[in-house]
Amino acid sequence: MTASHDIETRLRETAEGFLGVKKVDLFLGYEKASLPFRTTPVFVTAPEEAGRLAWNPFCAANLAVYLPRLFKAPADAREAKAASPPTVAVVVKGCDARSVVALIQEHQVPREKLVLIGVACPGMVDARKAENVLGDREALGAGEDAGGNIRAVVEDGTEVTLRREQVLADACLECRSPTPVLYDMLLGTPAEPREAGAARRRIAEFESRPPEARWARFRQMVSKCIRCNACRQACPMCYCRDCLLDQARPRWVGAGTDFSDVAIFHLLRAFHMAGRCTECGACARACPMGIDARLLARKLGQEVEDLYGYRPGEAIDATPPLSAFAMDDPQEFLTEP
Amino acid sequence: MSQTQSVQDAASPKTWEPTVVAFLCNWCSYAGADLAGVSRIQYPPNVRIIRVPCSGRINPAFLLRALQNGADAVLVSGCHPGDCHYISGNLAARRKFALLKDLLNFVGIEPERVQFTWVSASEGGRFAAVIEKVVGQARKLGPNKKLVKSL
Repeated sequence: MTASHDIETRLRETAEGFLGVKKVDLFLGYEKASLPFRTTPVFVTAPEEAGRLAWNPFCAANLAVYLPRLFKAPADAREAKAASPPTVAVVVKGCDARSVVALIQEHQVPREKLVLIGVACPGMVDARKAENVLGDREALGAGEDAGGNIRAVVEDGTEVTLRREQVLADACLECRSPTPVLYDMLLGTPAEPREAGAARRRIAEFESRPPEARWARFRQMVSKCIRCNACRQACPMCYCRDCLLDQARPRWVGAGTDFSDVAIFHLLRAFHMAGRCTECGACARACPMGIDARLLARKLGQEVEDLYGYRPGEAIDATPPLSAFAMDDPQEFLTEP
Repeated sequence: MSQTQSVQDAASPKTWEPTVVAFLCNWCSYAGADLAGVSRIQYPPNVRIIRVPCSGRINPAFLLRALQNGADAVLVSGCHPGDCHYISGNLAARRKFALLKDLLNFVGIEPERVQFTWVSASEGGRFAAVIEKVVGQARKLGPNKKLVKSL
């Protein structure tokens, strides 16, 4: 029996119990998907459906993204009076828990309506990495062995073992909070955080290039963008009802794939994540073109940490850095005549 | 000949002059620019001033839009810290500006394209000197080609 299997059993029992006694209206978790290396989110509302819940190394999605819309106030005031918000249990990994904390801070979800089922996360598999390792051989099924490595059954029926470290998502390889910061119940064995230097080195490596080379790299990276907005939809912190990018008067960013519009889209989206991004990697995972949107967000996250000593999603009662200021904030960047 | 009028009017290499869009806060910097004017202080005519209620009113999208529409540099100027008409608008803005400047520099946009400063209502001379410097740097950099929309 693997550790994942135990967690899966506990999740199903918990969901069945909670839904049975109506402690929660909805249990939000993962379900086995039709493709290997993936899971799909599942909304369980009845105790007899608890068996659909799964826990395995492929539960990468950040379920916090569904929370703001569950608690969104109806536009109609009379409806708002009649509607009572649901109580929701949600399975959260370390990064997801930080997203939930940030959402509570920003008054998007009420803490008292949430039951957080924290799972100490050993890192999740990036499906695309796993598929790249297999190359031409198509996987028909995937699982985990007792050592935590990934087993895949390929076309001809043979079994291939992939080292977990080799196929973990990039965000997981840089994860500093694998164990949830906020939970009502914790499953799994707390994992060691990755060293903080991993992400910093990647940023420093990019920064060490001359400006023109950085621009060329940025240009090459975002030119692939087809402006599908998947990164925005997948991001738990992108919950604005009227997104700046959708506004038509004025139209801040053109809708097409003109390079200038694409560049400004990525810069603005990254900027809106400053001091808010919880580094779950949902944006990179959602991108059909393989753009690593984490790079810009990560850079700003590091900047916020260095300048204002703040890491998003760590404490419910902290003030987000762009809602605060200090008289002696650094201002070396100012132009002096 | 192009029929469209953008911030940068039909530029040929010979006659190219930088265009700087300056967002000035109503209470300090705009009055500072006014003082520069009534004091007859000379400064380059390349600057296009947009008056805003407070530097805290500036959305980074304004600055990116200006660059996209052909500005060669963008300047934001507000009240000195502690002097904000709205108590703390410039202090909240300072954090946004620091991060925006870092981000643009990170992706390889020249730091001189986006500049921030404080100018009070009594600093006509400082205003002229800042404009002199920003226009000079923009001229040295040459036309902004990176973010400008060519369609």
